[in-house]
Amino acid sequence: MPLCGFNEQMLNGLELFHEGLASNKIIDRFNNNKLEELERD
Amino acid sequence: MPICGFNKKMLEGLTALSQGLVEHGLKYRCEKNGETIEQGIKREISDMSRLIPELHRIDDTAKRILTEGIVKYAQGFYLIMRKKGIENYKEVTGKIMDYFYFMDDKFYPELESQPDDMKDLAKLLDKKEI
Repeated sequence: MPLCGFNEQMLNGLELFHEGLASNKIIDRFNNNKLEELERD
Repeated sequence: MPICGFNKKMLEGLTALSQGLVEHGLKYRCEKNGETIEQGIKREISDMSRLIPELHRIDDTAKRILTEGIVKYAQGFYLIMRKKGIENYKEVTGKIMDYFYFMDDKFYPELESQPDDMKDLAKLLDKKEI
C-alpha cells in the first residue's frame, strides 16, 4: 500500500498534528482577531 | 506562514507518524514480506511515485492536496531513512523535527513580511542539514 498501512501510532500522530495545527494558530488567530475587534469597539 | 508555528503537539504528532513509518511501515512490513529494509524502502517509494501522478483524479482540492501531502511526506521520510539508515531512526526523526522547528524559528522573527521572505526561507532550508 502506498503508505505501508497506517498503524494506530501513525494515526494518533496525525491526529495530534491536526489538533496542534488547529489549536495553535487557527484558534489563536481567531481569538486574537476577536480580541482586536473587541478592542476596536 | 510556512506552517503557522509548530507547537509541541504538532511536533509530537509528526514524530509519532514518522516513527510509525519505520516501526510499522518498514520493520514490520519487511519482516512480514520477507524483504530487506532496502528492498522495502524501494518498493514503498516506487508505490508512492506511481500514486502521485494519479491523484489528479481526486476532484476535491483540499482532499487532493492533503493526500499528496501525506504521500510526499512519507516519500521524503523514506528517502532520508535510506540515506541515513534506520538504525538511528529516532535520532534522525528528532533532526527532522529540528528542521521543522528551524523553518518557523527563522521565518517568524526574521523573515515574515520581508519582500523576499519565502525565497530567503527556502535558501536557508536548502542549507539546513537533517
